[in-house]
Amino acid sequence: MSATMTTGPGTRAAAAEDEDAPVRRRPPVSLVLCSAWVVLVLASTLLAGLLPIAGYDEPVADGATPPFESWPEFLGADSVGLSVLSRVIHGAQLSLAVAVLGTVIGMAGGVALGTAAAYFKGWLATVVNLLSDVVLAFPGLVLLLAMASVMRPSVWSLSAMLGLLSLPSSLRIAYANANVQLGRDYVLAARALGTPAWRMIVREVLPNITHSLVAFGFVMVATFMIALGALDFLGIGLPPPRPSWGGMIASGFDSIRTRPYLVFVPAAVLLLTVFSFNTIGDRLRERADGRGGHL
Amino acid sequence: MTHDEAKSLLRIRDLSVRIPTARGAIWPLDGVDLDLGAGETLGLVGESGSGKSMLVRSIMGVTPAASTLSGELTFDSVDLAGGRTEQARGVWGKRVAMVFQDSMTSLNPVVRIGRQVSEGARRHLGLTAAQARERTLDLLDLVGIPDPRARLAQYPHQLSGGMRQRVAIAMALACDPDLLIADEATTALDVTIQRQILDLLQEIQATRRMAMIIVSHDLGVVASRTDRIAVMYGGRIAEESATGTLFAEARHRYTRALLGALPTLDMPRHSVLPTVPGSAPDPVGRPRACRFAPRCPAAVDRCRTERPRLLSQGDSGHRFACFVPVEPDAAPASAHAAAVAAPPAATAAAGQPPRLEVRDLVCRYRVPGGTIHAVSGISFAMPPGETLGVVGESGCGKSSAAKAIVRLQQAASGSVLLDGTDLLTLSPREMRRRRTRIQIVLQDPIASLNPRKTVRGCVAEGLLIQGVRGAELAAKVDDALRGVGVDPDIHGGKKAYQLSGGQAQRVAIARAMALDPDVLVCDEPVSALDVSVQAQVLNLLERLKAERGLTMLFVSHDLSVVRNISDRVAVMYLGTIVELGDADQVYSAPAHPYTRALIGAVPVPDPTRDHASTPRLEGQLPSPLSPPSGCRFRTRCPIARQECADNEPPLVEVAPGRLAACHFPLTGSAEPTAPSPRARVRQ
Repeated sequence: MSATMTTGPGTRAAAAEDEDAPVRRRPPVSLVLCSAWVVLVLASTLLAGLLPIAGYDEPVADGATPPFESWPEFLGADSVGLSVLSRVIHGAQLSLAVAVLGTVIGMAGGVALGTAAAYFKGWLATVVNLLSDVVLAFPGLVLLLAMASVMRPSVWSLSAMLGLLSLPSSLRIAYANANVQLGRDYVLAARALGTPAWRMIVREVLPNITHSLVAFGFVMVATFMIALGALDFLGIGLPPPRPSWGGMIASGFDSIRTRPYLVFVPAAVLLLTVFSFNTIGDRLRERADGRGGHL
Repeated sequence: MTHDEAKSLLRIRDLSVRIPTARGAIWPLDGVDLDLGAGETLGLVGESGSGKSMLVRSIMGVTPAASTLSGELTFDSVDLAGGRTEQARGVWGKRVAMVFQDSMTSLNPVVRIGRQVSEGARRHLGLTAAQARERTLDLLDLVGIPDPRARLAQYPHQLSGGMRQRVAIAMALACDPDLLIADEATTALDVTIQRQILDLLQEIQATRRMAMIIVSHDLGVVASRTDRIAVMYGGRIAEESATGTLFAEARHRYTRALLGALPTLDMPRHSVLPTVPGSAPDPVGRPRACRFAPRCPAAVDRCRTERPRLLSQGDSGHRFACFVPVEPDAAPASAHAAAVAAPPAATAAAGQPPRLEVRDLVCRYRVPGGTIHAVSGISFAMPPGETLGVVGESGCGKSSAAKAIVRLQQAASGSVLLDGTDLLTLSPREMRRRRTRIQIVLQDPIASLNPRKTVRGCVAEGLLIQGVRGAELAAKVDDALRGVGVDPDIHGGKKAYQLSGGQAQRVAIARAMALDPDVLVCDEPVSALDVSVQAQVLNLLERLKAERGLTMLFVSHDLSVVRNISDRVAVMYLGTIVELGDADQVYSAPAHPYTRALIGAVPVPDPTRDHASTPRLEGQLPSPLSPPSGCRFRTRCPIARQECADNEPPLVEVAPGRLAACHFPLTGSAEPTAPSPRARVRQ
């Protein structure tokens, strides 16, 4: 006890009256940069067709060109003369689409099952938790490999598969958060008003767990992008001719000694994007937790 | 100052604490002057946000990390405001020790009792393990822990709340401190346990002649146990004087209001409590004005432009910071001169069928290790317009009963008849319709409002469920809010966390009243509120009851509050009703020994009260997992006999309209050997 008592005394300071202005809590630089990067990636992906750059399958040179030698294709060209910039931007399209779609599918299913299980408890909770344990016990990569070997992966099939694999995680997040909220007094008060089940879940509980779910969603997107990168690298992701970051890293791998930028540019873009999504997700989670404690 | 500077053990001058926030710097402490002599006992009183806790935390050197301290703070000439110096560390924990409110979190849950208590002594006094063990045993014995040797190896969670607080006191005493600070140390405890702990602190203080600061929001706690009292408001000391003087002739308007807002056991029932309008001040900034001016009925322009200094009146040591003090010969604040009787409540007409009737209600929960018998067959009937108060200590089942009655909790058996219809057997659909007739108000007002919804949204929810829509809905919501004194145009769009506790509880009441119920169940509705705000909410409930002819079930641990608002009172102990009757009669002449002990334990804001004269209830509440055989109170009852262990006493009429469950009731024939003929009462 005495140890805790002697910690953290306020330091003496001459209190100046003009120090009473509100402390503006500036968002950390890392968060600003990460958000800016995500916005840049999203914008250039969505507006890829409008940008004054070559198509991803239009050669801009006769062969490999190092970066910073031409404009607007300032990232150079690969061994067959295709613009690295264009391919990075177009590569983001599919990665993002699958990652976001997979997240949305997984979260939708997970939140619906998780909140329902938390509300109804009993056998529903038992069954839902059992199923999620079964899915969690399944080796995800093996499942994806198996799928790729029997069918041609498409945006939809990949998203559905990733969504299914991630469903237990979002289910657990939703279940745990909903359980906390269901123990709060406002839920008791709502029950005293005769609130029916769907109304309790949708109008009382869901708005209070959205923060945590969105935060988790960002982290999920980042995880999926890495998974997709790995699949593409192994050549079992989305088939060519559409470029992908993982595929670009794989094809640049042969010439990594002579033309390292062919590996490093897509790798750096992947790293920055994943890092950014994770940072934003963590930050949102901190805020959600902080709010939770404050209530 | 009555205290010579030389005599002063603790010396505080112009102490301020500043914490920067997003809304501007807040000043939890704003220029506090205080002295404490050796061996003196000071009561530090204030509502939430008054700065009383920050003051003692500053003394203990545990202010928040972002805070800055300014001013002078010395203990026996050692500077405590200058950070963690060698000298200051020699004071904290050794010469000044503190007992916190929540012993569950202030004790380390994974360290055995023996080590926790001895740790301080070993560190500060350099005792060997054997010496420290001896000292720990002495200390545990001193604070009244039975069988201390067995406790050494136990963990905090194995002890009851009262026992844990005793351990915390033993820890604080480990190094023979010169100053002991009890920061709301008894607030979380039941009144009978609170009484034990306060008596213990007083005994220890007297025998060791140490100085003591008792921090409390409850004037009753400090009334007869302190030499002086300092009343804090908005980070400043509003008034400070000898304890007797403060209660007899408080000069500051806030002190007066605080004393007046407190319901007491000796005021007429259904009194309208004098209230302080508004709520606690915004802590942002340090205005050059009296902090209390916005709520003060006597405030003049000067109060709003100049800060009143804490000045002493003559050489009496009575200090107060007020430009327009109450005249010293005015009526004593504690006499409740301003309290006037409320409009007579709708009298319960005899012979009328009961509005709400509870029969043999039983609630049980399964927990690991057994079944908790929360409510073990309680029965009562309430005629329309009656307020029935339910009192008891924690674990007595009062809250479980309240929740089971409105079907927020599953009852194991029994029935709840609302105008003859059993609510417990209704289908969910029928129950939903019936919820317009019976509503509940919960304890924590802010937690009971959905943080994502606006005030209007919260109030509208019940109506929406009943199918009210459109203009009718908007009109009903605004009416309900106006009915509880909340302006829908100002507060309607706010979220729960933007409201003060009092406002939030008004909104919660509006939510219940929007459905225009016949029965309102209130589960500790004012326990989370400050005294001045509590009076507002109690008055509101009285008014609503009179206007709408509500039948009200009012559950509370606070006996003074229950007595003021209730027509009849039910006293519960370990899941059973031990006494039921007219509130005045129950309080003035309790029939059950438990009722008598409970009433005797209530902290009374009266400095002349002699604690030794009222019997103190010893021991702890038995485990609800395995209640005692026969009479459940017998393990703590001073007059228990063999018969009490053998047979459970039924709740029978001991006097007209008085029911008690005791083999040897205290009223009527006091002879315990001559039981009067009783009829088993089942209404």
